[in-house]
Amino acid sequence: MDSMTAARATTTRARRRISPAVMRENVNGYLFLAPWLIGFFGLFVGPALASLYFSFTQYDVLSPSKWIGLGNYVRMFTDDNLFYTSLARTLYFTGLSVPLGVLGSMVLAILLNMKVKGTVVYRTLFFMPSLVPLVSAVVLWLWLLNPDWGILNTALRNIGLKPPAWFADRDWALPSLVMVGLWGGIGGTRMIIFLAGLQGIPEEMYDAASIDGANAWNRIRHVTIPLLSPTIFFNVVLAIIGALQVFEGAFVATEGGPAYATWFFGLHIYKHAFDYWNMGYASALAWFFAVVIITLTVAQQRLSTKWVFYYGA
Amino acid sequence: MTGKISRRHLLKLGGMTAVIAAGSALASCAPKIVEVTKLVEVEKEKVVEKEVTKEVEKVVKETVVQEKVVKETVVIDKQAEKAAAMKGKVVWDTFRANPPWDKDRLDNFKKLYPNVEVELRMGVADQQANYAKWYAMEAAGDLGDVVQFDPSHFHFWRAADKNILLPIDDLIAADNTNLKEWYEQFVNMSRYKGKIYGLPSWGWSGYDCLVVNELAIKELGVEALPDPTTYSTTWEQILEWIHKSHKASGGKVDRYGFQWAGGEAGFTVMSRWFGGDLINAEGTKTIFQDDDKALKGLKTVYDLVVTEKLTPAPGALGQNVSSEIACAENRLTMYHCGSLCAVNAQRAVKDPTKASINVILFPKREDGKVPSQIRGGAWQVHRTTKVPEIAYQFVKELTSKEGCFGFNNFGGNTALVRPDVLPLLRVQIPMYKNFEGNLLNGMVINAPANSRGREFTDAIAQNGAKVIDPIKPMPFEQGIKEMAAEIQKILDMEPA
Repeated sequence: MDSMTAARATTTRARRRISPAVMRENVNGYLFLAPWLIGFFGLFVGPALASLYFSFTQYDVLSPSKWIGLGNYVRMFTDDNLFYTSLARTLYFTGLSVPLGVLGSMVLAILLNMKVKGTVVYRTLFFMPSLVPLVSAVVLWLWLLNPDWGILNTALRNIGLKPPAWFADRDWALPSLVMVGLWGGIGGTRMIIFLAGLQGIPEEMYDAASIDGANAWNRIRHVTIPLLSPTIFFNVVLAIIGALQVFEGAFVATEGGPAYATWFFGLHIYKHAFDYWNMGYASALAWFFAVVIITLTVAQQRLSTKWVFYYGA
Repeated sequence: MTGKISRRHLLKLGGMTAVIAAGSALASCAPKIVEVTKLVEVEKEKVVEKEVTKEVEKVVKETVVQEKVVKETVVIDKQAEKAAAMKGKVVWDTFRANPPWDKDRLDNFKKLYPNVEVELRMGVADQQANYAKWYAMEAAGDLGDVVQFDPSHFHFWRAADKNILLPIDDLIAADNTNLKEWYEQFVNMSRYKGKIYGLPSWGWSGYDCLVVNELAIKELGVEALPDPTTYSTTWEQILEWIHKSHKASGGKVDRYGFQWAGGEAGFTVMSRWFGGDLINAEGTKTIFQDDDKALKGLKTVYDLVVTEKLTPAPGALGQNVSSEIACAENRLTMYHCGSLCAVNAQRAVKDPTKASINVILFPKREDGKVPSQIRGGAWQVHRTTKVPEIAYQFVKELTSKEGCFGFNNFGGNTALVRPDVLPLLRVQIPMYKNFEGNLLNGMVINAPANSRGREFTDAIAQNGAKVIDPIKPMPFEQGIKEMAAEIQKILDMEPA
């Protein structure tokens, strides 16, 4: 008891010792933080908690919400045809776009990291597509991939191939969206992050490898990739989260079609929330999906210990 | 606005003219009657007597008419007084980014109701996105007094069920509004559970025709398409023209014979072509899967698209806009749409040697109806408005002859809801004359009874695309069965 009393006394003395200047500084600090704190709690934490509550209710915005317990969660697993198909489609999209995107960005970064003439120009050119808003890019690609008059199909026909109908074909609509995503994504921020990672690899590592007789491929395999693995991990995590949230392309280009071929999970949530006004059910879908994304991210974090190498750690 | 004659001036001038005309007519009555009476007495000839009787009747009729005009003028003056006495503020929520039309409406209304303030609140331009905003505003208690939840987009029934809209029957009665000012079917679109919820502002006879490049038909030796208003083109002729005008060689198609209309309205009208329908009038059951007449329409399209591949691949021409351009460029003979597209296709023609746009109205069904699904929207009064009378008067302004005509000029060709506007529009675009019969007799939407219209339209569009898919064909019967089951699931859902 004596020691606790002494500790309390010390704390009280410490509090009393805060000078007016420090106090003023603290107040000012919190005042400067206030806009962000208000935004964070008012526009993010608050709505997120509200949607968690609504996920247990029947709520259409216009009528008072009605508590139905796990009803929405039961419904998604037992009475929603599009739940499993849209989830599977989203995972398929992720499985296709993430490896291609991350690998493409890495290869591009390695190429652009070479000391050749005009590198700055190339870097700028490859970065430019990422500056085009996704919606504009999709509209552009709708024309390029038009089954009849699109430039790509015209070229393919000219060399004797029978091209697909791209966005109009149930089997090709999803790969078409992947293609649009890659066009804008490969040379974008991800490539810049890879470039930064590459430039952080000490030159002496390559020198040592060369002295040991490593050729270009071996230098990439045994020096670049291991030392770049933290960057790869970072990019993979972000790419998976981004790919799982695929929405805009399908919303603009195909409206989920043809015949549900691009009806992704994000679109499914949107439809229920803002078109069908099943806000309670949409909240449940969103929370389920949040759990999926968090689980995948945690799993990647756990797996990273097996393949990510932190130089100097 | 300089140089324009305001409605009030017009009414005053009309009233004065009517009074003068009535006076003249009355003054000229007496001598004629006297003269005629003399003739009757002197000659006693039956023929003359008949003529005299006719003349008298004519004069009496004219007099009655003129007296009526005088009375109406008095009524209008009283209305003007009443309007001037109205005070308050109306909040008008709209999504149309149409400043000149909006301004005209506001200016006109201000002249009639000088003591009423109208606040214009422009939503987002995309109408579908705007509904989401309005629902949120309703939830927040901030929705305006005058709104537009359109039947064509299936939001009307939901908004009515959710008590967003005020039934305006009492306002119509109190105002003595003549509902015959609008085509009956468009007024009917705003009727729900025995009440009227709005006045029509825009609309067209939806998906009731084939938009045709007549030059492609003439190439086949046909002199000219029959007058559409006679409904005399047969299905046999239509199919023959589609087949013969389709031009393909070496795997490349120079001209497609036909383009079908997907989506809810397209499928509904296809099922109506030969006398069937997609769902029942109550909106509770799908009926097309067991109805030979409905199946005949859908199978006709299935054969053209899937079996014979006489149509562009889905998306190859994009949506209707691209069909219009393709038709105007002689790369498509005809496509399923309505007056909206017909006029747009006409506008898309850049080279008259390549295309001349005409229409074929679908042959009438055995029951005399014209296969169609009229589409349109109405302005409505918000249920919680504090100024229902003023809001209603503003709805009348928006849906008036001037309002609809002006909107039509802005929107292109989508406000065919008033018989008195059509003659004005026909002067601008003669094509409109073809659609008058369908505007009078068009078939209305069968809306889901549970107000799940949005889910309903998605289910039809997505599952329909699976049935009529030339790239990955599926047996017709199987596709129909699956589609019917999916739509029925929506109709079986609890009310929205």
